[in-house]
Amino acid sequence: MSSETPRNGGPLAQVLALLTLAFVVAAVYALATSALPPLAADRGRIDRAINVNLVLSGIVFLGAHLALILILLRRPHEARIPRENVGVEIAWTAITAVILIALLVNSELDSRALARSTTAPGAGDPLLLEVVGQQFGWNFRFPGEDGILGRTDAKLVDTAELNFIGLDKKDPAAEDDIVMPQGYVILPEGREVRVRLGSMDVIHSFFVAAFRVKRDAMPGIATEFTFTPTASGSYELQCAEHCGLGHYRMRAMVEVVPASEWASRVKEATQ
Amino acid sequence: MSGDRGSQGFWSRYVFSLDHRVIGLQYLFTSMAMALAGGLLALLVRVQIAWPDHDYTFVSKLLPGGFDEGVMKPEFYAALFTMHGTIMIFFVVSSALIGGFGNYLIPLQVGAKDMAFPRLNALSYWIYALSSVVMLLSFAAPLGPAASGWTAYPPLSILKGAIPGSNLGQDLWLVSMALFIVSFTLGGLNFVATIVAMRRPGLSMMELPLFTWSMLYASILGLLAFPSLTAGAVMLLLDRHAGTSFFLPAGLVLSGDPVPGGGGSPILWQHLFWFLGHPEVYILMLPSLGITSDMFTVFTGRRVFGYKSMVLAMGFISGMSFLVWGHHMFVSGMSPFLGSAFAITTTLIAVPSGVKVFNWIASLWNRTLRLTTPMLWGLGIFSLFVTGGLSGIWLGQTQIDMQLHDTAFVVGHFHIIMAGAALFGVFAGLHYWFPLFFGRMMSERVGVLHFLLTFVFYYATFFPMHLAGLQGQIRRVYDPYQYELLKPLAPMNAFITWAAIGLAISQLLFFSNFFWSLRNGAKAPVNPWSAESLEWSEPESEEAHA
Repeated sequence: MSSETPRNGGPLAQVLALLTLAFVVAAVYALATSALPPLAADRGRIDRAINVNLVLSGIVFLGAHLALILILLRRPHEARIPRENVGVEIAWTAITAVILIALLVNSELDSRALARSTTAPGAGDPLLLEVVGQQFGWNFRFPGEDGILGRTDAKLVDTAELNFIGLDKKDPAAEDDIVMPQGYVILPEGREVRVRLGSMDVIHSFFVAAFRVKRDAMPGIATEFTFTPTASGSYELQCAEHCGLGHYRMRAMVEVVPASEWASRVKEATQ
Repeated sequence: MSGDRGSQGFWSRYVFSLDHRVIGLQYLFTSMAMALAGGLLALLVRVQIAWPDHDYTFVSKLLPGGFDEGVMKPEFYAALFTMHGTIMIFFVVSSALIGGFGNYLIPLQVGAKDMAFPRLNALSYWIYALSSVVMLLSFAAPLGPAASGWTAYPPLSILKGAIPGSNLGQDLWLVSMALFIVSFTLGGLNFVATIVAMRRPGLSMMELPLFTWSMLYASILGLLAFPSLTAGAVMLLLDRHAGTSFFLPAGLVLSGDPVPGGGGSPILWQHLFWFLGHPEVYILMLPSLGITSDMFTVFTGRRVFGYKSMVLAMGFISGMSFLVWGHHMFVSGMSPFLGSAFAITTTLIAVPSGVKVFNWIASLWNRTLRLTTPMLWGLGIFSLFVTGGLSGIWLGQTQIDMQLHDTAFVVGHFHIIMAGAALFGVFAGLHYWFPLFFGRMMSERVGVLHFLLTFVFYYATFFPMHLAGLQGQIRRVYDPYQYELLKPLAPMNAFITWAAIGLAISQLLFFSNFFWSLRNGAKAPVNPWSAESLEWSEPESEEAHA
């Protein structure tokens, strides 16, 4: 072993330092130039949080790997080997804790703000949208004029009649419900949408990357969340939870149109 | 192997042996065989993601059940990632690090003659071997192997009509997991008893190598965390066959037909699963962290910086690992207050991880490093631990997790931190202890080359996944290009797959080095690395074993 074993400062150490450097440079470049899909909802906080984390973790990532590179390249120096020092250890534990707690607080503030309805009082009600996942499609329904979603019953599901969610058409509240064609929904720009999410069969997950929204569609448990689309355009809804062999094609189109055109566009689409 | 049992012939010596060293090697070789299976599954997954439209007539001849006229079936794809994850996590890395190294080294490192309960030890190996066979038998199920993901979320894993894999394949998966947990529990009991009660007189806990400490922690984690999945597996089996509804809510409709039963909750399974699942991540990580620290001690010739705080940090990580499972469920719709609680614990667990990184830097700073192959793997773990730890902090923040959960970002993250660091730990340990196991050295030249290639290809494979995830690519996706959004990612996915192929080919260097050196490696001196831990001390006389 002894004399032939490569050491720091030697050629093998240089090769490893070079590879590490190449990786770090490539990683930082790739992350710095990559982008989330263009934001199309009122959830810029998530983008901001990702950017803050990118910078902070970038510094730590660079620092730790730079230390590794220096360790590899520098010749050892016996006299300057760090000695055990409880003070130093407490100090870096504290620094780590402070940074992490700051991120945690930021995350909590963001999450609460994102969960809160953003509709100002008097600015009109949020638009209720029921979203129900099933193997392998998305069902969308608006409550219509009365603002109430009609009753559904598993026994009334009739695939041939395109009644995928088992809507009880005898229920008066169901009369004005607007059921969108499966896999397609139109939303008004600038109006808050309150999604009531559920699933007919297995777990699916509602994910629109451009809206920065993801929530599991859990059978048996209806959950609600809100967001406000901010830019007209077409966006893809992906199912993010493995839900069976058709998981990869459980796709829906979410079209955001100016609020003034919304009602007529929905009417067109459902005729 | 052991002298006192040497006269009993081949079967009792190498197959039904009670010797902890033989059992350790049995674990190692079994997990190597499982690694080949798990690795091949991963390659098929990657090839499909990169080129989903390609005609794989050649492969389809080898695997007729999984293909339809040269095109992979989506249910087969689901089975591939399900079985890849399960095999790699439980049957490869857990069993190599804990079963393999733990069995061989714990008695030696604490100066005991054998494990506390040698018969139980042999039993735990054979139950593990049986569970491996049952898991592989899942491939022979008429409708294909389990395909509900390694997390087996119900109702997908309950309803037979939900995916073909949720038939006999899923049953075999559940039975295999239950057996594996039995084996792991027996092993854990043995490890804890041996480390705590059978140390050589005068050897204090604070003199043990950090690897032994990591084994103690990992065993305790296994003992306390795994039973929740045993319960879960039994409940899931009952839901599947006995008409119970632990995880099935009422009113489900599958493909237009009402599903009987109801009253349960699919989210209950997630709690039971992740109560095992998250400690399991640390069961995989801790041995690697211990090995890394020990490599830094041996190959710098000085004790690792902050030994005591390392012991404390690992203890804190272990304790906290029981309180973070909910961070896998931030988007499940659970109460935001519960989400906050799990975000807090997740933040706390990152603190000792940071301490470890600082201690490691101080352990290397200005010291002379002997860059042997095991030391290189240790440095590799350092890098992976930093990279994967940082992306873990991202995912621990609930608002970021909302965007990145279930995307390729998560796949990149856990392959770097949990799979990668654990796998690098297996390589470090195999190179380091090879002379102890087999009396010969592995080739350093080939070992170094294998490390450099693996380091490069590992990052080339898993780092770009973060980028794909940031751009919205979901995980477990058979054909990403169904989405306009993901079409521009085709070149990146192809790059990842080429890197994965390079990674796989690089492993041939390891296997040839390993098996060549078994017979032809240079004869190893008693203590080839000049280490100070007990396993390298002169072997005791044969009488001592009797």
